[in-house]
Amino acid sequence: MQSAVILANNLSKEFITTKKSSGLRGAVKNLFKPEKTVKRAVDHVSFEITKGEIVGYIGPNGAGKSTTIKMMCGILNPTGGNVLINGMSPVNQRQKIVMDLGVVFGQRSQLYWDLPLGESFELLRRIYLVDRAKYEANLAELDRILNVHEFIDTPVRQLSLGQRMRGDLAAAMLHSPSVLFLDEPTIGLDVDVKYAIRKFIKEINEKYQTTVILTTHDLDDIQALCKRIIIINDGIIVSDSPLEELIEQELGHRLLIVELSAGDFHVTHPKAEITPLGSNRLQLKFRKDEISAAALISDISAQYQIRDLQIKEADINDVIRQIYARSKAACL
Amino acid sequence: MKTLSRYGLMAMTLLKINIQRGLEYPAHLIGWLISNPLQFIFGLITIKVVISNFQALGGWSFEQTVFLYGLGIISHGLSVVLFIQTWYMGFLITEGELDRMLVRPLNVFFQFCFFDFNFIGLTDMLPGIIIFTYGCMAASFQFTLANTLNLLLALVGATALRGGLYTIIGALSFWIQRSRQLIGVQWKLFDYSAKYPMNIYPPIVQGIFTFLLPIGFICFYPASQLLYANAGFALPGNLCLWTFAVGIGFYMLGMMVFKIGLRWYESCGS
Repeated sequence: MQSAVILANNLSKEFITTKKSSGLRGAVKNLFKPEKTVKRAVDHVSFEITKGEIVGYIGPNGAGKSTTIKMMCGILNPTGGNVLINGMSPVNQRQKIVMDLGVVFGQRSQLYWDLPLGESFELLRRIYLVDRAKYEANLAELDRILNVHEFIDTPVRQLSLGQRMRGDLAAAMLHSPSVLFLDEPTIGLDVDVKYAIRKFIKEINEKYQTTVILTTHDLDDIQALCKRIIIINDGIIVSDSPLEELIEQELGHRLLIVELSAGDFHVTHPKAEITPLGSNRLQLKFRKDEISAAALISDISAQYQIRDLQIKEADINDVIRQIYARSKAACL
Repeated sequence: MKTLSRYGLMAMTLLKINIQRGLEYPAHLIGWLISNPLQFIFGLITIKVVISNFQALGGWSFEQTVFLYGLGIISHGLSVVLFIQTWYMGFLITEGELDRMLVRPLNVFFQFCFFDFNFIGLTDMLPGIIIFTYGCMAASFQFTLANTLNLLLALVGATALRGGLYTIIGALSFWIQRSRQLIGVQWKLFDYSAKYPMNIYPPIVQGIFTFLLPIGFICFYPASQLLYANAGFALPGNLCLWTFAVGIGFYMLGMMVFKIGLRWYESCGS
């Protein structure tokens, strides 16, 4: 049994907002009798993450992902519950915890705007007390995957988004933290950079057993990297399970699409739900545990000639959409 | 001790980086070098006009007022170099810029003070030094050992006092989100109280600026002692020493308010 690197226990965060009534009358009313509403951005969230895991933390916009991450890295104080990182609480041991933490926010650079990237790195080296030899070795290693030397002398403000993000990732790993928080690291990036970043995350995880918590809206990131995903919606965790299990349980079925050569056909099958798609194409929805794809294909080809076929695996986008929709319905 | 030397080293590094960063924008530097002295020369002209039309202000001659004004600009310049970030605290807070400082293993107030060390602020010092030197000569200020020591105490105190007050006003943004307007008020307040001898104001105002919001200590009280000029209230003891004590006290108070405010920090949406 490995010990938990991150342990969240009933973690909650409330924000107090004043409700704004519209119009002049509303503005006057707001002034004298503001209506305060409490918004629970994160509501009794509990989970445990062990060393070396890559966990996808996903949810729709405003679900509470960033708020949770901010509580974990000591930016926000929880309203209730607690979180322990390596057995310490960010509330009273912030400095000690962040020493062993890497944080990347896709929407906001952690680098110093007017400084060349290399100067930012040098500054971080001093902040995190990394000795020179280790720093050089780390930088060479990071450079191998992220190619930061190409723009190391350019001021950060002049970098492209992709370069900046690579710089941000390298900066977050210079002090070889054991935990890495990535909040939408691939937002707005092109395919090549996305690929490089995924590769980077995978490599550091394998090589250094770095625990990674990743939030993203790009489910390809999740599919490429995470074995486990935690889904949060309206501040509540609606699902926490291995990715495969989640797909399995949400979409037990697969789709077989066949194109038949004969124009005149009438296909039925007791174990498949059939929908015609037009131009000789049919969609057969079947459950994996009831019939295998091979058996289904041979059943049909016994009756008609199949010209082309295609099997659609469960799409993670569908799974997630389904879960979001369901948790939303449960709230109403 | 180890932490102290670490922070000392860090501060030196940041100083170097910030000078380098300031030099990245030479046009910006030149702009300030031209516009800042102008601002204070106009200030000086205002005083001259006021005094030559209405005689001495509260028993202060023009020369003494120049001394007062120069002293005020020097501590203003020092505070701009060291504490300019406090003017943007509202922005830092609403934009979630403090996030970056909170994920670094250093004291947040330290980062807040030193990461944006404003070396351009030195352009404010230049006119201050010139005006003050003129004031010293015109008001025949004697640089004896005691006077020099008192002057240094007063400058350190006044700078810290400005820093403390700026920090407190800036830190209000933790609660009210936006303190930009307050900064404007603060500006006016400091401007009026540092340009003219404070004893020209009614006693109630003098009282407020002495005991509540002690901006009288920024240059009025120390200057009145150094020049044997009318101080309004008869305060006991060495006024320069008082300035030093009040300055350090307010600076520490500012740090405390900042620390309490930080607990209220709500970052911003992703």
